[in-house]
Amino acid sequence: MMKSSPLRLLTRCSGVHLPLDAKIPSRIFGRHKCSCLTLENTFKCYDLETGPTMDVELSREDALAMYTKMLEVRRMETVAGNLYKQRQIRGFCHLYTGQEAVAVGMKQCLRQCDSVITAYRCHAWTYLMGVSMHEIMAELLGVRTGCSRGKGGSMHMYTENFYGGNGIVGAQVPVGTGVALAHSYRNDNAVCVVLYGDGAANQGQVFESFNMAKLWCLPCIFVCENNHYGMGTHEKRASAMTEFYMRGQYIPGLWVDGNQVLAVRSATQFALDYALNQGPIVLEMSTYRYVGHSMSDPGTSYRSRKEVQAVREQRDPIISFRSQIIALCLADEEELKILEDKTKKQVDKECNKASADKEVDLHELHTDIYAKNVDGKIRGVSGFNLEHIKLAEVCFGKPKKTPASEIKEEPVVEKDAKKGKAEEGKAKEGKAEEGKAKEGKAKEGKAKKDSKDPNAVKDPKAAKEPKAVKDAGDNKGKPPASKAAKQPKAAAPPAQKPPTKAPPSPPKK
Amino acid sequence: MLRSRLIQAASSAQRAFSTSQKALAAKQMTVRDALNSALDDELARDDRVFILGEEVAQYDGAYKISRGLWKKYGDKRVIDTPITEMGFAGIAVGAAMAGLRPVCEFMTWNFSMQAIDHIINSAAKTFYMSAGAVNVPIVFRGPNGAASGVAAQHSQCFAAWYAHCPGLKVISPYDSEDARGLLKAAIRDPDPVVFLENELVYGTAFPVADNVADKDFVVPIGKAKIMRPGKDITLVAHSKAVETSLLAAAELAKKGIEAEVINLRSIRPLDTATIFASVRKTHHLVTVENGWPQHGVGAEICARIMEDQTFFELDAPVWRCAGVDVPMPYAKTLEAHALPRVQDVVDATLKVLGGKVGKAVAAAK
Repeated sequence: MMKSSPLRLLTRCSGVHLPLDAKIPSRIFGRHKCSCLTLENTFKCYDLETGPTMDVELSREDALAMYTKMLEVRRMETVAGNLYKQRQIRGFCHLYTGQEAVAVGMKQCLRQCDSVITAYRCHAWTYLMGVSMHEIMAELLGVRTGCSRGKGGSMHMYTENFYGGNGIVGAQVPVGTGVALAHSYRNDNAVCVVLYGDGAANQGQVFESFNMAKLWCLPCIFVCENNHYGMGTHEKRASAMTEFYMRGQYIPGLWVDGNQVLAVRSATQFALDYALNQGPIVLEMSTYRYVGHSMSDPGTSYRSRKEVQAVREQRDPIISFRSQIIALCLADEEELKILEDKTKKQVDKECNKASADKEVDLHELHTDIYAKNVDGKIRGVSGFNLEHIKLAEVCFGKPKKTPASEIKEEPVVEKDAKKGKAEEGKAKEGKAEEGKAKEGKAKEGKAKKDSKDPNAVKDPKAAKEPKAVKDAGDNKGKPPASKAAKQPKAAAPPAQKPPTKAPPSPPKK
Repeated sequence: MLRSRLIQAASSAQRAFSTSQKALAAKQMTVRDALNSALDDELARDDRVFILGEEVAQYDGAYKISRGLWKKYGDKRVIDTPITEMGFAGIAVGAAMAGLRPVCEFMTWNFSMQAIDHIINSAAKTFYMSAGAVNVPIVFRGPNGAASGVAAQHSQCFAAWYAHCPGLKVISPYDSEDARGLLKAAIRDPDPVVFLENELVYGTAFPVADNVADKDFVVPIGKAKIMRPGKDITLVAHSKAVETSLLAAAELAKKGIEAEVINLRSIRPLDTATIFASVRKTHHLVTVENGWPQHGVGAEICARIMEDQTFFELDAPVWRCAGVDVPMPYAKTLEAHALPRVQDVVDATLKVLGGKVGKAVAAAK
């Protein structure tokens, strides 16, 4: 395990180097707008000529913003953990407690255009990428206000430029590399941050992704969040080489003390510049999770309580950053205390909102399976009695817009095809384009939009039971004679081409 | 890996087929050209479309489906990948999530099993899991099913495998019209599409109508096509089994039996309306497929019929002709017997028709 690294502090005004543990009464210095400090023992470089900046600037604004975010994430995860214990959250629930500095520090220097994809431990990232705590907690509780409308759960939350959690260990790595490929394809000067754990670091597809990312020089930041345990197995027992920042072999790497938010921020800034100019880079963020792998893991059989306690005391990302803020005279004890109380209350209030929300409507079971459903009905438990409902407009992807003049109507050659279909396709294409240009997040709003899909139900509420029941009835009864008569026509060959006569002769053997 | 062997097999298959249709007067198009021109059209139409896969660029495609496209569109639009299916399938899915429209070629579908997690878990399920926030407009394509002499690991039909999964659209074209129209439709589709081609017909020239060459020619996904109308029995097939069925229908015609042959085109969604309508007319059904029988496409069709009123229209049980329930053997004769042959389909048809055969023959006279 990494030792806690002492920091040399340097206040801009005095120019005096101060050790981190120096007790400086804040009164003397007052509140600075901005301070400087020198990071030490926070980086190790692999195949890099220069590393990140060690002398970093920290403004009061940034300090408080990052501190607040870390507090929020920790509190949110505590609330989630409690709700799980009360059996209100089901199934999987992987908490980020202890790793806050990684997500908060990284997000601090990512730009609006940059993309992120992570693994199943995704609550913190989802929040930082812009989903409200209310929506996240609602998703965990499986209620209708959830950011994936209760259909994704703990591991499947998405928002603009955030391509999710992913429930399959390592699968997000090639997918994220593909997002980076899209950035490179569009030449939009953005990067994709791809996060995975020390467990996933041994997955074959991670190395496949490294290879192609380097080969094609993709703007991709691979981040191994090393919390030292892949599920319940210590890194030393799972990896033949535990220097994960060197595991890219031909990709330069950087080891970062992932429990120091300023080190993370500095490393990310460096990686961002590197990825944009020179291609992929691997960051290993050494961190620690206080909780078990998931809620079913007490996290004590494969490590000692003492070990966890020691990290909490010596390397906690929140406590250490708090001391830094005070030592740098960016805020004082009292002020932080107030902030902490306020944040806790706010988080609780936000999360509580979700508990009052209603369950997901039953009809949402059969919504949004296809962006363009061409099947008739969806099969229910017993028979094809469910209507495919479309609530969402497509999509978050922001492709370079194809000029409208080049998008051609999709002619439907088959005579039988409903006339509306061609128009529908056209309308949708146009709409999707518009939608992409706009914000992708306001799902609620989207849901209410008339999607022009014949299968779509304009008012989601109108699509509830009665309709489904009616359909079921239809299905049971013998198809009406008129319908039956129409069907053969519907199946007629397209445009009555010259009837296909002889099939091609079979291979001469 | 038997990739080089596969390519050899492909070129020998091409030799065997290339002259077969030249005599016909109608406009001809090989399946290879149909696919190639479909890709060309869509690359030109939409700058978000790109192709990636093994040897698709400089080598012109292992089966020459992407011939000339790299020269025309360059490195950005036609990308050679390493031989790492899981990685590049995942990358293609990521690019699709981020708004591009990748066409991901598997040299053959057999290798897609290394990437099946990304096809199912990353591509098929994301639209639903994200409550419609992230769609995945991607086409996975490549040759599917038994080729010639490439043995068990390289001879397998994946139609039933992928058709099992909600969120995917699964297409299995037979002739040039299917291949061109459906591939274009698949690329324009906002959902993940599994496009199962057949290597053995790549070099076959089929007669096509004039409009098939149009830039905007598309065949709608989810609609079957009646290849040959008939009134006595329905034969439902997809991909190369359509050829077997058509040949069987020609045989049966000699006996005075008029078989209706349905080319499914789409496996998911399955155009049951067309099948049901046909069965209501013929009252008999045989399904023909080259995949394995258990939980196969034919099995699904049987189940669908039983769950519908059409069941009562049947005068005899539905019968399945499918690949023999064994891994594909290598030896030529064994291989030939591992798939339904024309005679098998004829026999099954006669069995299903039973006593009616005599009547039909009598009526024909």
